[in-house]
Amino acid sequence: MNHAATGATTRTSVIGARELTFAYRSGATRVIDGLTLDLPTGAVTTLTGPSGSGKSTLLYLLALMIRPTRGEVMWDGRAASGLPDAARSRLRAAQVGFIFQDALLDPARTVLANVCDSGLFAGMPRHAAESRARELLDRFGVEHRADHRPGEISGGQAQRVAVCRALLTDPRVVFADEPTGNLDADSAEVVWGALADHAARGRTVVLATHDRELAARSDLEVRLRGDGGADLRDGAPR
Amino acid sequence: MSWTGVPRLGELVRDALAGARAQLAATLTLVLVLATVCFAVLVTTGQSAANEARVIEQIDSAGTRLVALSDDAGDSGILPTAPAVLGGLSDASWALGLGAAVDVTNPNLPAGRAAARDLVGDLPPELTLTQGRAPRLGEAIVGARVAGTLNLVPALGRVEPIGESHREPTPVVGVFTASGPLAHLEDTVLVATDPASLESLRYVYVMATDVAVVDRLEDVLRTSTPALEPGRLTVETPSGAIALRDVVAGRLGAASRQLMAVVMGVGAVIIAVTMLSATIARRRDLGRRRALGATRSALVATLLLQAAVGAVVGILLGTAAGLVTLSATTGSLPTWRFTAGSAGLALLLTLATSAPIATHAAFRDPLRILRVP
Repeated sequence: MNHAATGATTRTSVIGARELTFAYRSGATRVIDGLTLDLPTGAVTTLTGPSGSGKSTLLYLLALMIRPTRGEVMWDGRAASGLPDAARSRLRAAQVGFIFQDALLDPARTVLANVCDSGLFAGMPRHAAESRARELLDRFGVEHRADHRPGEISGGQAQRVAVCRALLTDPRVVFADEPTGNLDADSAEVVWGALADHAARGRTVVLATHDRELAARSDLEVRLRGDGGADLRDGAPR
Repeated sequence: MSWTGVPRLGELVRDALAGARAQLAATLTLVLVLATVCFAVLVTTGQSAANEARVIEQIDSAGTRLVALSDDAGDSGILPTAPAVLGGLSDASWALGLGAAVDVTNPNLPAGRAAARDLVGDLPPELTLTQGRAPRLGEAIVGARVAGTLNLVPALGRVEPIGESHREPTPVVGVFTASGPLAHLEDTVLVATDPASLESLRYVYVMATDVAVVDRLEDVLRTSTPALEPGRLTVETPSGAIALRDVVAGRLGAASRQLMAVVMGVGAVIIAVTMLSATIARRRDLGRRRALGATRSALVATLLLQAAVGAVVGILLGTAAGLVTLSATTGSLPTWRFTAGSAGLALLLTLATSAPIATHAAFRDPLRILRVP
């Protein structure tokens, strides 16, 4: 059992975990073992730990993409991990933004179309999605690349595009899996700035990272030990 | 602003079209496969179907639908009203009555002679006038073969019963040819006669509306033919021709179905391989979509729509090419039902083959797909 309650007790929480346990196979080693925590809104939470400690697994559990072996993921105080797949997908489409380590843009479509992708599943009208996408591309300095293909832009620009895609629906929660892992310092700073700004607007931001500097700047750090348990470091200035 | 988390149908279709364009190689492969399947089905099975239809038509023209009632001994007393009564049956296309034969000759050139019979009822489609007009009551038409025998060619004239020169000759107003089961009437002179002036008929021919109702019609004729002694009537159905028709339809149909099954089967394998390759190539894209909130059913729908786009283009191209080829090489085309049916089957084949592959792709574990080692 591993109770790691957040120290940010004065903050409200959209997402939490109760006795969360996950093993890839029945009887296999538990990657996450009995984790209980609440992730504060208006804050950036980092999930850190050595390789294989379960950072991405916890991220995908909290994002309702996979189901826990035991325990619950809580959304707005309600058990959500047991919801049917379609309901969890709709919740993700409507309220979640996702940033992947390698941007994961569709190489066959334009930058603009890639950004609009998350609006498709959220049910966002196309004209609204395009308008918002251009606004975000402009904000992150890649509007002039809107009609280019991902293969024609740099890695840093691609990750900025991925950030635009994640923020398109102005989601309540943004999950980011090693979002700065492949970026130079300047691009990493842009991505961090975007996530911090989003959190400052009362949203929840959760990112899995190896980057000690990012972890130090986050509001809450959940350090996964690698034995299924976790320790918290709370209250660092952003 | 909050969103529903439910994609709009129009946007999904648009996304599928974009996906078809993005995976051009897979889409073109589907176009090619479906075009080949439809082309192959049309030029092989379609041609067989057209041939089968032609053979069946030829067998039918030999009289598979004609039921003949005869009073062989002349004692059944088929009433002259029989053609009108039997022609009105729902299973009958037409009915024609013939009286007993009498020898006639041309009184102007009496060397030749021919058999003449009273005709009760309208001329059926199997009798075609090649000269003159249809006879009114008391007028005659002569079969093309007998016209020369009676020296009535090319002009029309008169005929009179042999040995009854005191009777007024019957004017001949036309020459006819006969086809199919009535071809033997070309050796006959037919005299349009008022039924009221006759005591009885020797033959009644009834054409069934369909081969399938011949047996039923035969039963009705045996019991409902107006005659003095219905039990003494001889009723002949073309049972041999019907059996031959069934055999031909069965064998040709089975061969066509086997051929189509082979073509469709090979097509299904290629479609499956193409779809499998396409979904494997899109593993991370599909995982990304799951992360962005796509439901499994939305993913399956998108993949099926994408497959359908390529399939429809291929089906249209293959069907058009097949029809043009058949028209140019054989001059005969399968029925529109066969063409539409094979096109629909090809689309169904694409969707049925793609559905399990799309479903499998939608159920892949996103964590394994998306995480970077």
